[in-house]
Amino acid sequence: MYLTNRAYIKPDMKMSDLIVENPRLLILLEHFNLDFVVSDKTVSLLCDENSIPLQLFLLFGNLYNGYQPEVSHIGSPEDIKTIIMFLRNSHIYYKEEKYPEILSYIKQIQDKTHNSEIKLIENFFKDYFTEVLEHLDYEETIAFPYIVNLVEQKGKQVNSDFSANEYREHHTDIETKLTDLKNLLLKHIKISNELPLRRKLFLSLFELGFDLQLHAMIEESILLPIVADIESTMRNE
Amino acid sequence: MSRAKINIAILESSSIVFEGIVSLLSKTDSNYNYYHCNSIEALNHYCFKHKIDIAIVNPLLLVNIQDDFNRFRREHSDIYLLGIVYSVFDRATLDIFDEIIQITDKTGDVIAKLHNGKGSKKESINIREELTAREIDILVQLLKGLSNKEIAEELNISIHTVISHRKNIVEKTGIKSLPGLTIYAISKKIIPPGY
Repeated sequence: MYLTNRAYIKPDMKMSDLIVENPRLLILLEHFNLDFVVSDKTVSLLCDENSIPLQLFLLFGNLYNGYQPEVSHIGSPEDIKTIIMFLRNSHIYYKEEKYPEILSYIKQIQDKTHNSEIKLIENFFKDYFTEVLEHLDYEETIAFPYIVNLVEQKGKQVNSDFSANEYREHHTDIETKLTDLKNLLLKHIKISNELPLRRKLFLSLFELGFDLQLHAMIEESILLPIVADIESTMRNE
Repeated sequence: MSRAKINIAILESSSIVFEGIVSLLSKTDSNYNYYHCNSIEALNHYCFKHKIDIAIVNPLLLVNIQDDFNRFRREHSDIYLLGIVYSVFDRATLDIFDEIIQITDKTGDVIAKLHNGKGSKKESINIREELTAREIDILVQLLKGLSNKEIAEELNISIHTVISHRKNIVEKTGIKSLPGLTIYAISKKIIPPGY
């Protein structure tokens, strides 16, 4: 368990207090399709009003606050559909927000410094993101449809190319390359000037990395075990 | 914060003991990441995934799985292994550990025991980041696309030596992927741009 000093989120806590303590929860709300103007609502009320399973919200929220997922009773069809919605929304965040943003920072640094190594970083990042896109595409076209089918047609066999191991391998590759990129920028590539731009680039990479890491954790530690449970129930029926 | 973070895996079923160890160590001037494991499988998993430096293990959880644990010990011989003991065990069970913490130990003693093993290995690596001449040779061959076996033949060294150099390269640079190492090598002028 990775420990932080942040609150362990509970149903009767006020959402606004939690956001002030950890602004990263804003992106959690976005992935749940929630606005961040939350008035004085408690977590429980917020979930209730927006038809989000409370236990699931607590589980994910605590993940964003730095707590490892605990064994839970997540696994109803409603939970699974919400998890997939959450993951799909995070795909949009990676593709439509983080990718263009990071690329734009790299290009700005390149335009201003004419540093040849930045061109290498750009290519590295593009190759890396192609890999991310392939994985997201795999999730959207193979994994998610397989899981939705599994939930909806409980009892019937579902054929698919889905493989839990393949899923996990993708995650490891993606994590390795992003760590490489951060280390290159932090330890090895010397670029003079443009410190604010480089800081923005680094923070943006960090935000992408943080969310991708939780994304992988949600899939590996929460979604895949639920899928395995349903599969084994089906085999026994 | 110049010192690298040290990863500690704790195999202990009691949350109170786990939280207690964490709270005690958080007050020292070292930086630790903590991983709570409930089984030897979980411990193994963390060791592969997070490069664990120190494992604190309750021997009570090793009853009946001594063989599994011996295998774990062999596979991860570089991990500093501490036993956290609060009942009576025979000597043979405890001999497998590098050091034993008794539940009744004073705070200072526990920290001292932990620091003994925090060890020469990891910190000495982190002090020097520059690659040695031999590691640079290996890196260049690696970037040519040669396999470990081919590099060993090319440089007339054993395959184990190649693997050990590669491990050092990754630890010193913080970079694992070949494309990443290529950029590293270009930026350090080990290979020419446009390689």
